[in-house]
Amino acid sequence: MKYHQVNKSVNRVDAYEKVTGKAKFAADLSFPDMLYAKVLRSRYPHAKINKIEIKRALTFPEVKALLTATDIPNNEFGVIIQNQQVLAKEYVYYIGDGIAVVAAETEEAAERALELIEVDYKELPGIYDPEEASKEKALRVHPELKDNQVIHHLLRKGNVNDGFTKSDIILEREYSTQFIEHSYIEPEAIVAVPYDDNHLITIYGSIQNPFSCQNAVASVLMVSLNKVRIIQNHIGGSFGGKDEVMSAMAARASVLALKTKRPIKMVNSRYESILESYKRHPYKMKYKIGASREGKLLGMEIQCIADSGAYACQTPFVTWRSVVQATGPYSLSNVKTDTYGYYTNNVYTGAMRGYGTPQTIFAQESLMDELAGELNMNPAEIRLKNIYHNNSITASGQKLDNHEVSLEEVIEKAAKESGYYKKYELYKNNKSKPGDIKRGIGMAISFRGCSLGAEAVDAAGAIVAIQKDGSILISSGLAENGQGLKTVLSQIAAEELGVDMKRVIYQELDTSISPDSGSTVASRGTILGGNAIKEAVVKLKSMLLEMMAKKYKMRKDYIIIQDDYLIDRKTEKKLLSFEETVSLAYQEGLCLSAFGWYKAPDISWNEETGQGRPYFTYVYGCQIAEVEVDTGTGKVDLLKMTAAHDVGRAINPACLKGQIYGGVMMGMGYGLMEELETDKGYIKNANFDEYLIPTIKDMPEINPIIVENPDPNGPFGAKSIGEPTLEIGAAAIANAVAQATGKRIRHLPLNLERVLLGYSLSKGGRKK
Amino acid sequence: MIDYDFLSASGLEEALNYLYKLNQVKVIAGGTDILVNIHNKSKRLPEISYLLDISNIGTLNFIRQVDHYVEIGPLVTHSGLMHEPLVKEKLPLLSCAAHYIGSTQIRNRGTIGGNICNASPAADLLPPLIALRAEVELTYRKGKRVLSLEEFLAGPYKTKIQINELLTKIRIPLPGDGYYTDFQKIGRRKALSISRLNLAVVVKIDEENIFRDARIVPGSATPYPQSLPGVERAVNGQSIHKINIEEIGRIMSEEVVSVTGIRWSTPYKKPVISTLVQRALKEVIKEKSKNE
Repeated sequence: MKYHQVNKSVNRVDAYEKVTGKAKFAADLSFPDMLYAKVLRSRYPHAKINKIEIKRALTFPEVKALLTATDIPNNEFGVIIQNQQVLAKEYVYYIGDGIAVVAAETEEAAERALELIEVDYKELPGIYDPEEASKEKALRVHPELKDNQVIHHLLRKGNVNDGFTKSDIILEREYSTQFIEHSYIEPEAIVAVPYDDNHLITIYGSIQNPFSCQNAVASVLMVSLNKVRIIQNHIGGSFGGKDEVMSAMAARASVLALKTKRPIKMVNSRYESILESYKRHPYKMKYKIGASREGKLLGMEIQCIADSGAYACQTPFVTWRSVVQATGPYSLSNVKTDTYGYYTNNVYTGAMRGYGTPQTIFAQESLMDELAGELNMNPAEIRLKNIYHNNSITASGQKLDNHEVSLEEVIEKAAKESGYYKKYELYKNNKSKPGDIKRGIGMAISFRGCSLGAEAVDAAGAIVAIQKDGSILISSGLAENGQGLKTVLSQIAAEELGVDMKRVIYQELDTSISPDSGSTVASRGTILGGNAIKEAVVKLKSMLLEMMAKKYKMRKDYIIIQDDYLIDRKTEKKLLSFEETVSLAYQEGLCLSAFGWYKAPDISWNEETGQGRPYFTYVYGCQIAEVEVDTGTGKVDLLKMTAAHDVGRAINPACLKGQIYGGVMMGMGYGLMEELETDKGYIKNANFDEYLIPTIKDMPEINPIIVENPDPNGPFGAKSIGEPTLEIGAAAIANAVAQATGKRIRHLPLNLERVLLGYSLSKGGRKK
Repeated sequence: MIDYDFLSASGLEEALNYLYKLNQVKVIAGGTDILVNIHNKSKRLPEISYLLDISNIGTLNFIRQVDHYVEIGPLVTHSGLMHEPLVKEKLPLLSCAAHYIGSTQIRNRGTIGGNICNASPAADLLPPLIALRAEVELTYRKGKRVLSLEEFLAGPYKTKIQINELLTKIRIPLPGDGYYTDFQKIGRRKALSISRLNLAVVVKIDEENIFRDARIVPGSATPYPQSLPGVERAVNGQSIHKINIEEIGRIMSEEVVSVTGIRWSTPYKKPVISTLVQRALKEVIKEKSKNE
């Protein structure tokens, strides 16, 4: 099929305003009479609050209001389990807990007033290791709960012991991963405006999920949803990170705005952002795998323990995705998987690009290489022997029968482009080569369920409004988070309608106008949002064609819209321009706006067995890393990453490559240098001088390979790209480093010390 | 928040007068260290009432050759060291080290004077400057004095500068014929990276291919950069063909540990500083062989 608008690298619709600096971010906004607010955060990771003395702070010049927990109508919120405090009431559970918030005429005055608040704490012992937290007699983080367990998911298939009995080889390995900061370039920012346009409160902000923010603020204020309006601003990165932390900020700003009857602005510094915001879950993973001599996998037993930190946040869903995908894309008759989340007094953990898979993929893909090593097989060969194909049955019993299972294709394409087989042989005999500098090549693969799966309701809506001059406004309930959704949905709308994309303007998400479509997460923007837009356009197109059929006394299906004209399909004669057609429809009193709604295909999940159809479709990817390791210093140089991803259909190949470049860079940070270090709940590197992310100079050569196997459930066949690009990189790098050095590192990140010594060092001493 | 008044001097005399008359004055040039310290309320920052900006004093920004010395003004930026032909040609060690500092933005603002006076254990310019036997000229209202840089440094983030003094010149004797230099740096990433370890080596190789006058100065290895006489002695007098470089590495790491004691970072730094000195010597030998 020939496309006119999609499958093309058109410019991003928001590029001009962003590159010229015209785009307004939340911190740029200003309203008359606006106040500035700042938060006082805990001094201890775990403490009882005996008393908060606010008198001195309240009398500080320019201070207009000060809130503590008792001023918050409903102090606890959360998307899944409502136990996150807007402001700490009796206890602080982690170092980032807010205790009070001050609004003043200037940011400086608000900050100074914070120093005058006296908090009388009783410091309490805390629990900082999720394994410790899992023990029966462990101190409870939330005393009102019976234990520290946030969640336990399981998956059972076949009999894992039978599988191990039949195995010629069994490996048992332990892997672990670290806390990761999202490092969005724009720290959190909100402006809350009270009593605006019939709403009790209107919130502008750097918000990834406007609807979850709306829900949280309405629940905190104890008002109906229609009184709370969220208008999303341009967003300077989110990566899953601007959800609960933004809800807390929005709730605090809203209560202050209503109390002072003035707009409230809150902007976090980087330090505040790293201190308070949730992180990627650290995992401790135990993997046991059994295989035949020929490398056929016969059984896998997996246990993953996630550190949830102080609050439940997204832990129940993050660990659910882990339980579904923990085996990786390998056919196995016998699987036993358990994933757990436990409360600790560490910084809380939540959604981050990848959402419970970068951890398990690091373990499972390292393990596959270890197994290949034991069996003296090529890592690609052992994968090809075990991967899913069309009609394979997954660990959760799902038959992959409704889309192309393209693992073999992505592996072969990435292998070919990277010269994998040749290089693997070349680097094999590193030991005998002179010098400290060694090269290695390593691969990792994944399958990933698109969209939410059995986590939650999975549906999205869109509005398409053709104006009487033929220009078009579209809006969607899913949010532009910098990934390019505005552009991609505009392309889809134009393609379906048969007109030029320049006619389309995408409106900012406004919860009072846009249909609640859930969160823009799980790499679901294009597949869900695109289908909803298409649905709305199909309705409008059908209405226009019907009108034309009547006018020209033709059959409706003989008319098409193409290149901005209504055309007689048989004679290819232009009947009427799109503008004239629209004008005619307007004259006839036809409705030129339509609502589209797309509900994802049915899925199922049995919590008791971990069996079902957890996702309605999947994407497949393979990344191959080539590294150079300085074995004298432990320095790893990622030379090249070849990344092959099946996306169904590339709506915008340029945007898609951008996703791959960004995902590879984040995967590289995860693999080589990023680690939020904590010491008994204190965060040791709460700024970018010590929390290191890759710079442009560290960027390797990246070769993105777009693989297209259109999915019947995707708009023009499109599926997902955001998260798959990040989840496999660290595993591929670890495998390449293992080849280069001959030593396997089972803990992330692979920093200088781990690569040289096999363990990490920090001011507290030796770590795993 | 830290309160202070901001003073700007347009000439050296004015700056020296401020330093003489006022108390709790902190000098600022590029600001790449001090602004961060002020922002973070760093414990390293002394009590300050004034920030004295010297960045407009044109007479403190120069690079020139005077007899057998290169003289560098304290306001010369790291970018200046990288690009100035005189430095590139006569003191390649220094322009090479300047290359590794921070990022383009930091190199455009940060100065050699600031790098010296901040006296960070991880400063990238200090090991090469010490190895080059640099001297610093300190000026006060009524006079000036000259110290060797090694003598000037007094501890981590500490120097012997007096409150009424300003660093006005860095004077580097030109290494004579037969001198070779090398700089090594290990960081956690390729830019904006504080040295995990660095190392400057300056050494003469005479006509008989014997090492003479070795100066070996590691950074981020000892509480503040200093030359290591033990390893220097071990190198001096050895033939470049017969030297046991691994042995030098061992002596180097042991000397470093004898200075620092066993610290949390020792398991990493001990083997790696040995690797770095071996690499530097190999580079120097390679360079010498190329010249033959």
